[in-house]
Amino acid sequence: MPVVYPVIERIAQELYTRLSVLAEDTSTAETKVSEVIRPKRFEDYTPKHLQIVMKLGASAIVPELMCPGNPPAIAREQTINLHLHVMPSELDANPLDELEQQFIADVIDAVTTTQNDWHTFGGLAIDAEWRDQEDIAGDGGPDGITLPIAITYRTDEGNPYNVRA
Amino acid sequence: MTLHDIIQQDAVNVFCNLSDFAESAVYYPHTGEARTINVVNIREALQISPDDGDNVTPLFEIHVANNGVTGILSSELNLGGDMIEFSLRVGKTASKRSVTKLLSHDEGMLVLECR
Repeated sequence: MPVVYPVIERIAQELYTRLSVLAEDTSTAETKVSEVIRPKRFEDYTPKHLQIVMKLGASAIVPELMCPGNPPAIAREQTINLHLHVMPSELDANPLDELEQQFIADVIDAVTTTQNDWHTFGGLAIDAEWRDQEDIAGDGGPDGITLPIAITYRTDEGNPYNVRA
Repeated sequence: MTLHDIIQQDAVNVFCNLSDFAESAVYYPHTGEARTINVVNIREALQISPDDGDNVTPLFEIHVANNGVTGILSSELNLGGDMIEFSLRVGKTASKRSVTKLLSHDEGMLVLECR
């Protein structure tokens, strides 16, 4: 029997699928992504150049988008952090900013590729928007950029598996 | 032979001796052929990841001779792509980890951070 996932996990899986296209050999994006990772408990991956690490961040109730009814609908905004690792070779002549901006652009393009309704993640979400990016500042120097995306979705109050329009 | 030469020899023959503290690992330079090297691997406690405050990541301090045969030359090290293969936990299967930082170095030894 297939595993059934809550709405937010299905959204995360859809996001992961869109990002994974960048790591395929057939990708035509400028950035050749090395891999897309969803960390396990002890993050058993090693940081690499042009690697995406995807991790769910803060989740908050959105009171103005709640719906009365029986059952009522609860709205949440889930931030998903995309850590874009940029660790080029010491021999790479390209400016770091150039690599980072190209990486960010390709990620945004891959996630929004369905254009008109990209923000619904296949009818699972109400809205999605990009948030302020931050540097990943390892103590050995810059390691890349964190690009957060905030996704708003609604479910039955007592059933996080059921999408509510 | 100068004291300088003796210190460099000691780094290879004494400190990185497989019969004492060192273990075997495989160095994968960013470009070029992989080779087996001798390292002293200090397996640190899990550390908070630079990515995210709620993730932890394994951390390794690797001591290796500044040597192009059984160690790594400071001139060939590339912090953007070099990897070392070793077991994350003693007895477990080896896997490749990125060299993320050069903690210190001199003519005799390099001290590297791997994650």
